[in-house]
Amino acid sequence: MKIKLMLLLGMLSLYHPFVIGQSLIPLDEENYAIQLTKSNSTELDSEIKFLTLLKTAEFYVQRDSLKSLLALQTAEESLSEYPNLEAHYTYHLGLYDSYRGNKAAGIRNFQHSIQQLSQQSDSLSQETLALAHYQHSYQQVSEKGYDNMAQTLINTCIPIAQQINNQELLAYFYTQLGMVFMSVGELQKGIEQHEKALNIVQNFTKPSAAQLITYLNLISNYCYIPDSKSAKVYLDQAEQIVKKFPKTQHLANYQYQLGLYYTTKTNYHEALNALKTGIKHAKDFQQIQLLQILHFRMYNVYLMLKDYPTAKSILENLIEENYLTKDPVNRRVTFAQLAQVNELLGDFKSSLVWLKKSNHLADSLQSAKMKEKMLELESLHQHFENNKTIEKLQVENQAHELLSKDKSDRIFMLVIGLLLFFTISLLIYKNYLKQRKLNEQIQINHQKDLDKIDQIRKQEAIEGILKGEEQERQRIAKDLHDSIGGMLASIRMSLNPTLNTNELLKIDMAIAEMRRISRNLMPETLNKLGLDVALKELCETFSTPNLNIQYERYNLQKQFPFTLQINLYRSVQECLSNAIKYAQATSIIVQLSQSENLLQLTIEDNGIGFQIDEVKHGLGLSNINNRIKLINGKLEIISTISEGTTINMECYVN
Amino acid sequence: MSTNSTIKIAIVDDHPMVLEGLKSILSKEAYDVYAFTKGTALLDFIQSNSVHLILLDIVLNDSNGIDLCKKLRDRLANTIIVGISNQAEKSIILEFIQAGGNGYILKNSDNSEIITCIQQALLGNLALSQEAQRIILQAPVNNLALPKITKREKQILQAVAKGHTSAQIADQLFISLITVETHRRNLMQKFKVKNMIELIRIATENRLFD
Repeated sequence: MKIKLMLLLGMLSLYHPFVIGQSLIPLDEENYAIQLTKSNSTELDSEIKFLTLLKTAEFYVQRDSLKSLLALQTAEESLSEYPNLEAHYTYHLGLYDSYRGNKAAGIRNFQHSIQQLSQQSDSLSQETLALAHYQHSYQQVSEKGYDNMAQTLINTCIPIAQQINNQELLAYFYTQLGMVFMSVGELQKGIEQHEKALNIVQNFTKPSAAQLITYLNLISNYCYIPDSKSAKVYLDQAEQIVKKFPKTQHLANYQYQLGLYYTTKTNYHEALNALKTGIKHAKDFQQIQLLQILHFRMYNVYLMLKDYPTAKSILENLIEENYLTKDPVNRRVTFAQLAQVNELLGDFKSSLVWLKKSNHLADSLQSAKMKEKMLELESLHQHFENNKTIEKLQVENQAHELLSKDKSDRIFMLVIGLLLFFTISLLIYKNYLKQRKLNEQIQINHQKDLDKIDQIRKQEAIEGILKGEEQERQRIAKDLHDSIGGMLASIRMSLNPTLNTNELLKIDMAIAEMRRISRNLMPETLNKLGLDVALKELCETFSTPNLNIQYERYNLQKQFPFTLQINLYRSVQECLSNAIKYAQATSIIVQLSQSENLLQLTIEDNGIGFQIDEVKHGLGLSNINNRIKLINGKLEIISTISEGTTINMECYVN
Repeated sequence: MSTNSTIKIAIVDDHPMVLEGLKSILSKEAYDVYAFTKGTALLDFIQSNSVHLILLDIVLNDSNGIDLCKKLRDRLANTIIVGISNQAEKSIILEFIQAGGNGYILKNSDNSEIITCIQQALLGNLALSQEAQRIILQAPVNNLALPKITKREKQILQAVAKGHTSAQIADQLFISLITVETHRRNLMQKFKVKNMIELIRIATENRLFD
C-alpha cells in the first residue's frame, strides 16, 4: 500500500504545472460574462471599454479562443488612442499566446509588458505587472526551474500585491507559491504557504476564486502528504462553494481533487466516478490541459486496479491527442509509463521500444538542458573573465599611478627628513651649549651656597660660643652675688664697728673685690637697668683723673633686646680697655645715638693710634667683629697713627 | 621708743639673708617692720596698708629699684623712700634721687649708720650714707668744661659754619643724609642749644674748630 502510494506520488509530482494555470476569473462566471458583454456595448468611457475588452479576452482565453482573439483584435484597433494601456494589452496578448501553446511569443509579450508596466505606479498597472511577472516565470518553469519561479513570487509578485493591498491577489500568489513548493516535494513548506493564503481568504465575506483555488490546492497538498483527514476538511469547504456556483470553470479541478482524495483513500470506484465527471466538465470548458491530467489520473487508478489494458489505452490516447505530451518532460514520463504498463502486460518488446524512446528523450532533454546550462555558464564565465581583465588593468593602472606618486613622495619626504634632521641637530647642539652653561652656573651657585652655608655654620659656631660664654658668666656672677655677696653683707652687719675695725676693713675690701669680679663677669646694671645705665656706669668706672671718658646718649628707646645690649656692652668694654692699655689716650668719647630704628655707637680716643692690618687680631678686634656680626651690625675702625682711633658700630633694633 | 613702735617700715630686698639682717637691726630699734623679697609684693601691700618709710634695694629679681621708686612715688606722695644697695655708681645714686628717692644707703654701711640715715630720712632730710655722700660730691674731672666733640662732629660743624646744607655735607663726607641730620640733632642736644646758629657761635667762641 505504502509503496503504491509512493509510486503514485512520484508520478503526481512529475505531472507538474497543470494547476498553476488557474486564473482569478470571478466564480459567478455566467453573470460576469453577461456584465462584460453589457459594458462592451453600453460603456461610454472608452478607457473602461478598452479594459473591458481585455477582460473579455482573458475570460474567453480558455473556453473560446475565437471570442478571445476577437476581443483582442477589437482592442488593438483602438490601441493607438490609449498608449498608456498598451502594456495591459501586451499582457493579455501574452496570455492568449500562452493558452494557444505559443510559449515563445507568450514569454516575449510578458517581458515586453513587464518593461512597460514597471514604469507605471497606478495600482491597476502594478497588479498587471505582478501577474505578468508570474506568467513570465511560469511559462519558463521547465527551462529555468522552480527556484526561479519561487524567487519571482517571493521577491516581486508578493511584495507588489502587499504594496497595492490587493488581498485576493496576495492570497492567490501565496497559494501558487505553495504549489511551487509542492511541485518540488517540499510538502510541509507548501502547506505553510497555503495556510498564509488561507488566513487571508478566511476574512473574505464573499466566496472568491482565490478562496476556492486555495482550498483545492490545500486538498492536493494534504493528499500528497498523505493526510486524507485534513484534505477532507478543505474538500467540504470547496464543495460548498462549488454547489453555490455550479457553472464555475473550477468544477473539473474540484472533481480532480475529489478523485485524488478517493485515490488516497484507495476508494478507486469513487475515484473513477469523480474523474469521469471531471473529464466531462473539462470537455465543457475546453480545459484541454486539465482533461489530459484527468486522463492521466484515470490511468493511474487503472494501474492501481491492475487493469493494465485500459491503463495502456488511456496512455496511448494521451500520446495521440498530443496536448499534454507536447511538453518534453511530460512526454518522457508518458513514454516511461507506457514502457511500464507494457512490461506489466508482458509485452516486453513494446516496453523496450517505449523505454528506449523515453531514455532518448531524457538524453536529449538532458543535453538540451545541459547545453543551455553550459551556454549560461559560459556567458557567466566570459563575463567574469572580462571583469577580471578590467580589474587587473585597473589595478595595474593604480599601481603605476601609486608608483609615480610614491617616487615624488619619497623625494619630498627625504628633503623634509633631512631638514628635520638638521633642525633637530642644531637644536640639540644649542641645547647642549645651554645646558653646559647652565651646569656651570649651577655649579657656581652651588659653590656659593656651600660657602654661604659654611659661613653660616661658622657664624653659628661663634654665636654659640659667645652665647655659652655669656650664660656661663651670668651664672657665675649670680652665684657670686647670691651666695658670697649675701654672706659678706650679713657678716659685716653683725660686726661691732667699734671693736672689729680691722675685720670691718678687710670685709669691705672683700665685698668691693667681689663686686668688681661680679661686675666684670656680668654687670648687674646691664641686666637690670639696661644698656644706657650700664654704659654710663662703665665709663664712670674706667674714668680716672688722668682719663676723661665722656658718655653721651641721644634719643634712646627704653629697652633693647638683651643680645644686642650685651654685645654692644662687651664691645665698648673691649674698646675702652684697648684705649687705656695701648693707646695712652687721655680723653675718650662714647656716644650712643638712635635715629628711628638705627642704633649707632661711636668710641673715639685721642691716643697714639695703630696700623689696622698689623694689630687686627691682637687687640680683641676680631672679638668685637664677631659680636657685631652676631647682632647683624656693621663695624668701622678708623685709626691714624698719633691722631687716635675712631670705632663706629651700627645696627638695627627690632 | 614708744614713738618708734608706731612707725611702719617696709623693706624690699631679693636677698633673704640681707633682708633678715636689716629686719633684725630695725626691729631692735622697735620699728614696725614688713619685709618683702619682690617689688610686686610691696605694691600689693601698699594697696591696703600704709607705711612711713620704704627701704628699697636697687637690684631686684622682678624689677629695678629706680623704676619701682618712680611707681611708688606716683602713688604715695608722702611716703619716704630710701635706696639701699651695693651699687656705688654716682649715676645710679643720682638717678634714684631723681626718681623720687629721699636717700641712698650703701650696703657696706654699718648698723648705726643705717639707723642714722633712716632717722634723718624720717625727719624729712636727704639721707645719704657717708660713702654715697662721698661719691656724689666727687667732682667730675671736667664737669664745668664744654663737652668734647668727635672728629665727625667737628667736620659737620665746620661744614655747617660754611653754610653747607645737610645734603651737601652728606655728599662731601660720603655719609647718608639721615646720618648728617642725626649728628646735627645730637650736637644741639649736646650743647643744649635751640638752633645751629647758637651752636656755631658757641663753637667759634670756644675754638672747637681748631
